[in-house]
This record gives sequence, C-alpha cells and structure tokens, in this order.
Amino acid sequence: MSLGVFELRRLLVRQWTRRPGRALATIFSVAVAVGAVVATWVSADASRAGYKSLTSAIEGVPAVDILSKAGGRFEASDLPSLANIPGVRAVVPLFYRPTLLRVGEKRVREIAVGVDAERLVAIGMLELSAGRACTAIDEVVLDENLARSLGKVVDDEILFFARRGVRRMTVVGLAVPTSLRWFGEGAGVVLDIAALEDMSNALGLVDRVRVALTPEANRKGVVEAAGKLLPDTLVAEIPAGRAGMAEDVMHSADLGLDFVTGLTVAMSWFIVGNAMLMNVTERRRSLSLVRLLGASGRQIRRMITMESALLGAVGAAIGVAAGLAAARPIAAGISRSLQAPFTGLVVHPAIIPLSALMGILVAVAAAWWPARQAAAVDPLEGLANAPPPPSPGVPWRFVGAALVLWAFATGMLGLVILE
Amino acid sequence: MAILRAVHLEKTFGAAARSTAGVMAIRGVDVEIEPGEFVAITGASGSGKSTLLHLLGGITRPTAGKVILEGVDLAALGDDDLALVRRRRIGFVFQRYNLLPELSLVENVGLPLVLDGIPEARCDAAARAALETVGMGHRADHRPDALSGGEQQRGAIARALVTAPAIVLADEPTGALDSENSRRVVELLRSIVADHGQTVVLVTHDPGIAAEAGRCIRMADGRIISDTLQPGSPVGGGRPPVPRPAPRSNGGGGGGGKRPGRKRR
Repeated sequence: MSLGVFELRRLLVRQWTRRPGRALATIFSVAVAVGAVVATWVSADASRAGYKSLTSAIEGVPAVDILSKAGGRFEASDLPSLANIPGVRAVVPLFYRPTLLRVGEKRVREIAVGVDAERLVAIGMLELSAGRACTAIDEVVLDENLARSLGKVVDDEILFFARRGVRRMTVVGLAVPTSLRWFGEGAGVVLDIAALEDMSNALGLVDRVRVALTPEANRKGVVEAAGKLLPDTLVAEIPAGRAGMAEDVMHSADLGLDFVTGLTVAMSWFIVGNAMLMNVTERRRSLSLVRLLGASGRQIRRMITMESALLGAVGAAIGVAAGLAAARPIAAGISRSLQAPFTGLVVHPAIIPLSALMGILVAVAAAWWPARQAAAVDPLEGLANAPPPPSPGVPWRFVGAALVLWAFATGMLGLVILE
Repeated sequence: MAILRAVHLEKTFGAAARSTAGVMAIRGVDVEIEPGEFVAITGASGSGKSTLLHLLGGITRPTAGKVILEGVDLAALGDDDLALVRRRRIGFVFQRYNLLPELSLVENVGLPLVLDGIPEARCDAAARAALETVGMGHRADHRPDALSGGEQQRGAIARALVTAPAIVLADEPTGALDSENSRRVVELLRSIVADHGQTVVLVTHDPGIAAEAGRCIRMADGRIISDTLQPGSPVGGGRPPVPRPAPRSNGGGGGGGKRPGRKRR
C-alpha cells in the first residue's frame, strides 16, 4: 500500500463531478463556518482598534484611578509606590478645587486642578501651546480656549478666589485643551499642587491619584496589581466615562460575536457531517464494490477523510475570502454602535492560516463517523442481488460530542445574556 | 496440491439473534480446486452455489469450517488482510459486471492495482494489456455506460485478470448476456484457462455452459451432490481425481456421508 499518495483520488474526483451537489453542500458549510470566524475575528480586531482610537481621543493616555474608599480626599503619603507595576507610565496626584476667576468685571467659575506641572510637562503628559509650567504659588496655566475667551495671554494677571481669599496670579503658560482633558473634572486652570492645597487648607491631601499607563498596558491587570499594594482605605478603579462604557459594549459585542461564531462552527460540523454521511450512504454500492476488489477499511476511511479534508480546504479558502469581505461592514457597524471611528480592517497574520486549518479540522472531524461507516460497508452490498444490511445506529460518543458542542454554544449564549 | 480448499464449510444466515435458528445456506461442504482447473458449480436457484463462491472468495466469512487459499486460512484473517488477499490473489467476475460508472474501462480494470499503490502509469499499462488480452483494447477509454453488456463483462474479466490472481471466481458471468455474448464470454474464460493456465471457478445454472468446464460440481440444499470430471470438455478435464477429505462425523447438517465422490462421465 502506498503511504503518501491517495490511491482513490481519481474515483473521488469523478464522483464529485458526477454528483456535485453533496460536494458543494460540504464546501458551502465549511465556507460559512470559516467565513464567520474570519469575519468575527477581523471585525472584532478592527472594532478594537477603533475603540482604542476612541479611548485615546476621549481620555488621552489610558489610566487607572486611586481613590479613597470612603470618598473624599486622602493623604498622598498613604499611597505606596506603584511604579513597579507593569504598564505604569507615571503616577499623578490630583487635587481639584472649584474656583472663581476674575478678569476685570468678568467672573468665571472654573475647576482648578493642582498637579506637579513641571514634571508632567517634562514627561509629555501636559502639553503647552505657550509659556511654561507653573511652579510657584502665584503662577497658573490656563486652558488656551479659556485664556482666549478671557482675553489673556502669557504673563497677564488674573484674580483667583480661594478659601484663603483672593490671590493675584500670573498666567505663565497656556495648555492644549485635549491635554487638559486627561486630568478630568473639566478642569481649565492648572496650579502647582502644593500651592492649591495650601490655598485650600488641605496640605498633603489629594482627591485622587491618576496612574498613567502605557498604550499596551492591561488596565484590569493594573487595577488588580495596585489593589494588592494599596491600604484598605484606598481602591483602584478604571475611570468612569464614555471610554469605559465603550469597553463594556465592546466586551459584549465580542461575546456576541464569539457566540455566533461558536454556533456557526457547531452547525457547520453537523451540516458537513450530515452531507458526508449522505455521501457515504449514496455511494455504499460503489464503496462495497471497491471493498470487494480489495480496498482495505483503512483505505476507505482515508478516502472519506481525505475527501472531507479537500472539500474543507476549498471551503476554507472561500470562507477566508468571504469572511474578509464581510468583516468590513460588520466592523463598520460595530464601530458605529460604539460611536468610535472605523480605522480600517486589521488582519492579524495568523488569521488566515488558523481559520483555514479550523475549516479543514471541522470537515475532518465531521467526516469521522461517516468514514467509519464507509469502512464498515459489506463487500456483498455491491452485488446486485444481495440485500442491504440494516443501518447501524449513531454511536453514543457522537451524541456525546454533539451535546458538549451544543452545551458550549448555550454557555456562550448564557454569558452574553449575563453580560 | 490444491490451490483452494474448503473444509467442512458451513454458512448460516440470520442466526445472529439467540432465538433465531437462521437459514443454513451451506452445509458442511468439502471441496478442493487444483491449479489450472476450470470448474463449474451448478445447481438450482437457492442451492447455495453463489454463497459457496462468496465463501471461497473471502467475500463473506463461513459460520464454520475453513477456506484455505494457497495454504492461508481466509477465515482466520482480519478484514484488511482478507481485503489484501482478494485484491492480489483472487479475481472476481459477476453477473452484473459491477464496473464503476464514474471510471473509464481502463481505469476500472486498473483499480485493483491502484488500490495496491502501484503508480498510475504502470496501472494504466497493465490494464491496457489485460484489455488487449480480452479483445477490448479498442474500448479502453470508454465509460461502462457506453459499452454493451458483453463488452462490459469482458472488461470485468480483464479486471479479474489484471493482478495475475491465483484463481478467478465468476458468479453467473453470462446471466445477463444474450446467447452470442454468453458464448464469447465462456470462450474467453476457456481460453484464459487453456492458454494461461489460469484457475477459474464458475457458478452457472446453465448446463450448456457447465459442460464447457473441465469439472462440474452440482449443488442442492447447500450440499455438493456430485463432483465430476468432464474429460470431453475442451479444457481442464482429464486430471486425476482429487482425494476428498473424510466426511465430518456430524455431517454438517446430515449430508456428509451421502455425498457422492467425484466420478467420471
């Protein structure tokens, strides 16, 4: 027996061309499964890229907040060092204070934020369009839009209302508005944190510590790692906001897509299995004749398995192309629902080979039982006057595998519902 | 020495269930086939002649007894080994030709070689040579449905011969043919025995065709009722009688002691 060459390929190809319907049904089933996987994978990646872009636009640098569990301010000295947690870029204590600015007769309510402005400018987390960072107690950096509305430029003076009375302060810099957004609370005025604490009679206290992360950092991982280091009075959280909501929506969309993919793969498994079983049933006579002429059960099993693998490969190729085509509108739809920009498809290099392999494996797995049936065909069946043997039942292993698969699909559905 | 030997062969159908008695199709048959013999097995419908042929060819397994081909007990072989014996050592010819409609005649003839993993070019050459032997070389590339019954049967004979088997088993090879084609097929079988020394066992219910064989085995009710050499036949006759094994004590259904020995006409 030859080891490498598939002996009955010529017979197989002729049978396909003689009855193309079954072959096409198998190819179509695999194509649908592979297409679903590719479309889901690519569109999810594209949506994630759009979501990241959205997060970046909304929040700037991704971050995790450290807050008091009881609410309110807490001692900055209570905070342990978080610098060694993987993904942490900078630890930024924040102190907020509502204030009133007076410029001539104009009074403007604003939120002032106290930060270590000089360090933040140095590490690129506070972007100035003019001037420099505030370092002294009577220096202030203004949102450049606010400064424009007030008619102020660098080196001008404003009156700043604080708990300890009115203070005359000099505008030393103008901040880019998107850069200020990261500090939260809609703050438009930046002061040195020590100065603002002092003006508020709250020296050493902070409202929150915002931990800036690297773009590739896992926020949930950082929250968990920080939680282990923090004292009981403090808690680490992902900042609430549109980006957080988008992340939740993205997660739900992921689960939904995974469920659809799992269900499609399971259904394809059954459809391919059924198509192959019908293939075998229709060909029992020719299979028995080949058995009669000396084909071993192994050769017949290999023929059916190879047939399935070949049809699976063709189906996988079609499925990959169809999946890539379908991914664009799906990704665009998800991005729309997240109100995130669609930044184009992201095709991971592993997607195509893995999806194609999955298609072939689904087809081969589905052909396992039909191949066994084919190998067990009685050579006598090929003789015209021999009665066909009774049809054997479906083995419990097959039923068990089907139940496990359906349980998986149902579990995925349950997860989606719970989410 | 016998090329094929059946010892106390029995076959019962439908006895799988404990409560079912089943139908005993073959009842303690002993038979030996010598190399180069042309043997006809005859009998009425239901006498067990086709079942005996299937047992001799390893297509079905005996309920009891042995089938020994070239010293190998077929009943003791596993399915795949039995398939290998069928592929390499036995050629089959059937009443309905049983050519695969998807393949051309030459591909059908070469199929047993293809199953043996022989390269396609060699299979093709051997199959064309076999078709030339049966006078079908000019129809090699036709599909079976483009051939007459006689042509298909000659193609089936070529397929049976292509592996140079130890024995060719033919089950009613003329059953679906008109008299002219029947004559040509029998002539062909006779020629492969006479010219190539091929052993052929033929099942037929036609006494005229049976008369062409060198030896005729008659069956009734699953037993051999006569086993005669036919010296006047063109091939396979005139061989010395083959010693018969001793009948079984229980008679395999009661027929053992009453079976006649081989006799000359």
